Amino acid sequence: MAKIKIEDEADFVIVGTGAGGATAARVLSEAGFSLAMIEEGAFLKTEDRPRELVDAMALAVRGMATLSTDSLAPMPLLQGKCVGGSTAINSGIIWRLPDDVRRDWIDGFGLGSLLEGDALDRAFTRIEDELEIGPTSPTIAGGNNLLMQQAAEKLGLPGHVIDRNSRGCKGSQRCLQGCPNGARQSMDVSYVPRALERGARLHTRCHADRVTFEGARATGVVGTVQGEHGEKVGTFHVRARRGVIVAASAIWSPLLLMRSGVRHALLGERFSAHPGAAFVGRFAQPVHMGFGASQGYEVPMRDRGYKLEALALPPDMLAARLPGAGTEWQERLSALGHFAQWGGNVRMEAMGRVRSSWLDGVSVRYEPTANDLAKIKELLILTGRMMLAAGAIELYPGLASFPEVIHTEAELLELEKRTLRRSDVHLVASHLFGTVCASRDPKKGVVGTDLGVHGREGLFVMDASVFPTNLGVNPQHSIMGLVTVATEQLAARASVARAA
Amino acid sequence: MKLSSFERTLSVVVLSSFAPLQGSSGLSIREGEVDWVSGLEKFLTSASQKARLGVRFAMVLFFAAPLWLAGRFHTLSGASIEERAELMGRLLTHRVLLVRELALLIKLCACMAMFRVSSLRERTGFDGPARPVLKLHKLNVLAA
Repeated sequence: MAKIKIEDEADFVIVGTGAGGATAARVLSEAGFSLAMIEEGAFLKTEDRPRELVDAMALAVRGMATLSTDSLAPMPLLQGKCVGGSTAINSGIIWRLPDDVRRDWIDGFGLGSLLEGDALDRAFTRIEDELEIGPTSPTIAGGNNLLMQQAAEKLGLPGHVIDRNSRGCKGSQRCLQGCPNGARQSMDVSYVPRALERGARLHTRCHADRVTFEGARATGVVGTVQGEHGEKVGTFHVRARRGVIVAASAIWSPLLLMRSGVRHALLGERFSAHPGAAFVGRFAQPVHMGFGASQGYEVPMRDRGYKLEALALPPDMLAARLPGAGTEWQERLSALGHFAQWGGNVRMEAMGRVRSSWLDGVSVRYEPTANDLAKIKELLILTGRMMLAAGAIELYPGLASFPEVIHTEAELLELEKRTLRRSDVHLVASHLFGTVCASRDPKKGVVGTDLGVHGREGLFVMDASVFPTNLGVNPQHSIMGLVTVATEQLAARASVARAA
Repeated sequence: MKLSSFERTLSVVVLSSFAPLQGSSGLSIREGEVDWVSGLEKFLTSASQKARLGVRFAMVLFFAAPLWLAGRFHTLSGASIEERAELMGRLLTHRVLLVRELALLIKLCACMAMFRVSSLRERTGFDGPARPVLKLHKLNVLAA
């Protein structure tokens, strides 16, 4: 069989089409530069995204979300693998970069040229306009979100309706599987098409093996063209006249740099995330989790280091989350419309590392500290209290060494007396940071204030891997804002060079 | 990813043990309604290598669960419907973390296969009406 061989050349080559890569493509294509985008996953049309979870995840989620940290209690790492990256499987939750984090990054990592002044705020405003960011409408919030709102109001918690990048959401509750209406303004329906309209080229099912160099200057990307099931069907070589932008996530960006010969003591280090855990509650009245925004209400507890969120699951995941097997479980399945799920993400203090591995290509070491586990326990107890306040008749904590079903606050508060062990709780990590830390000081960061790799020319990293710390809020908007500022500066410099 | 005939046999017995056909109340699953094998094959095609290893190991381990978990000299296919479900329940809460984790993974695979069937999904009442079921009280902001 003839092997596919792709040859291309552009001003900039961008690896990855998630929040970082697509935003860079939007800015650079508007500035008149030619672009070639490399994406490992497929370009999925709205109508190609099935409702059924196994079919949908096989198309768009890396490793069916079974890629995990290395430990006896593995933590699944949720990442998109399609055009749009994780923006094509998330709930579209939008938060600007918190001021305290911004100040930390300026003071501690010298990122003032990116973050000071009004450039970042202008970038946020523009993105919010372009992606039609606004609060979740009560008409499509659905029972899971509205019930959480009632609970927060009852307990006097600082909750609010979630801002999302959504245009005409119909409450299909299929954010994870892929919005069937194209309502969520993920990168595959927003910035990537805009870049393509301006002449950018997109190469899908292409795995970047390494960045090529002439001396210290990045000159292109070579890699493998993959078939439908990841099998090798060819090769590609895309040359970059002005620069290579790596935006392949906090897991894959450092590995690509390592394979390309970039060496730095902090490359792959400082990995961090916002792992989450959740309670499921059963209610006497129907909740109908199957209708509504997947996530439309949240309770930020920033001073406590976590954020509670309503999280509607597809029925498969909800069913697996319900305790038991056989008759008892089947009885619960017959009332699947009566369950709500709320949980929280923790801004963990733990830091981990990412390395290449023979198994699945990557090894991620990341373990919560005792403080992190204490925060998880606190958020679970608060979630349980909210559910009971909203009228839950049964709670399913999903914790080992703790009753499978509890009914009262007194039973719930038994958890306070226990030390939560790592093996007691199922955690899922969805927001991944660090590993290619940015800092003005080359000793403290792999990339500098222009997000260019220290010691190399024309090689940039533009995704959440450059974040020096985690945020405590959903990162998509911060990635897009930061990348907008960095690529506007890059475009200005490149325009001067082009004119010269 | 195609399973061997041996793996297919194991997977049907193990996956269907979470929700046996007969003698159960609640959500009933009709004979032949769920294609356990194709759902699992779809999952394994895209899953990580670690998960593929885990699923295969778990299938063998759980098929032999009556022997090592309950001291009974038969496999899961020789167990009664009630015993199969009871064993799955015990695996899900087993004191060894690895067993619990594998049991949850297998349960998720079973659920993914089950919920590919639209008629079964409809019987759970998950989806409900396409409108908000709950109404929020209006805050009396004018009075404040």
